Amino acid sequence: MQTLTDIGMVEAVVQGNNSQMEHYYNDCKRYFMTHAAAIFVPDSNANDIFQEALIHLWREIQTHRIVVFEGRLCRRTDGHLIPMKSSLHTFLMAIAKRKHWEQVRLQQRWTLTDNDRVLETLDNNRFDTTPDDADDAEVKQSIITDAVLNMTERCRQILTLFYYEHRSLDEILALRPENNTKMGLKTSKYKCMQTLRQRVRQQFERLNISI
Amino acid sequence: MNTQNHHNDEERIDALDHLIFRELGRQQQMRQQMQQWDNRQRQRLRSRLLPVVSNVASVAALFVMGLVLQAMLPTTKVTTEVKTPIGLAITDSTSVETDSLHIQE
Repeated sequence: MQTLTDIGMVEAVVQGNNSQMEHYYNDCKRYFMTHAAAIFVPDSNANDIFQEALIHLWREIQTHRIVVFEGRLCRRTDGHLIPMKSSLHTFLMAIAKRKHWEQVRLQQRWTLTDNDRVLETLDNNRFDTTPDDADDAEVKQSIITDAVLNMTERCRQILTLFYYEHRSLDEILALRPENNTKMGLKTSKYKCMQTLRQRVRQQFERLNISI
Repeated sequence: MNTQNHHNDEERIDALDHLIFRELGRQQQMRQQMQQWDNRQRQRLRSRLLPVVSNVASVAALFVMGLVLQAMLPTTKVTTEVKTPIGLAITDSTSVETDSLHIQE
């Protein structure tokens, strides 16, 4: 069941209205924390999962994959606007649930494999981007947003620390001690970036979009 | 020709990397913004809770003070003697927590 709050949130996120977004952030957090126990055992990670899920949802809105059309929330799928049946809160919980299970899966895998191995990025098709009436730039942006959102937590942190925060490899090594050596970290960074580029390029080729 | 192609490929990768870095930055900015909202919410809660906590503390302090004062007050033993018509005396002793209560019958 969609509410006026959902439409209000989409409009606030599209307009970048900070005070409204703060209001919806607190509202979503309250909802999430109340219902988190129903989908997973809330622990110290709950806040991180919530933030990642909300970033996912808001980037979907900012890249116009969730829009308000004729007073209803719609989602772009295969170039068509399909009215959403669930509320944004439910949608948020679904993303959070998925992120939680990804973490569980990766943790299990980490205990079995070499720490320096770069993890596979996540399944490509869950939030698939398809051609629609949006222009190339928007589709491109959607593909890149998806690829970055669906990166593993580990890759995201390494790339963000290195490229966005301009931290040195030594600093990243101190922050993320699971990478045993500087060389291991460098390899991880390289492979994360390669995987990301590859994923984006594959999607571009699939949709006949030039970089 | 090959050099030209190689150059174009490099340019494309640069353009793609640029878009990727921009997206990484955008998402990181959102994370930082959310962190700020969390801190602000925590401060708001703290400032709302502080008066309540201080009121409870004041009431508790008053209560303890009352108990201390009560313990400090001297107790007076009051003896009541009632004589029955047949001459038997019934004596009852009660502790009363006042310093000036005297009952005489």
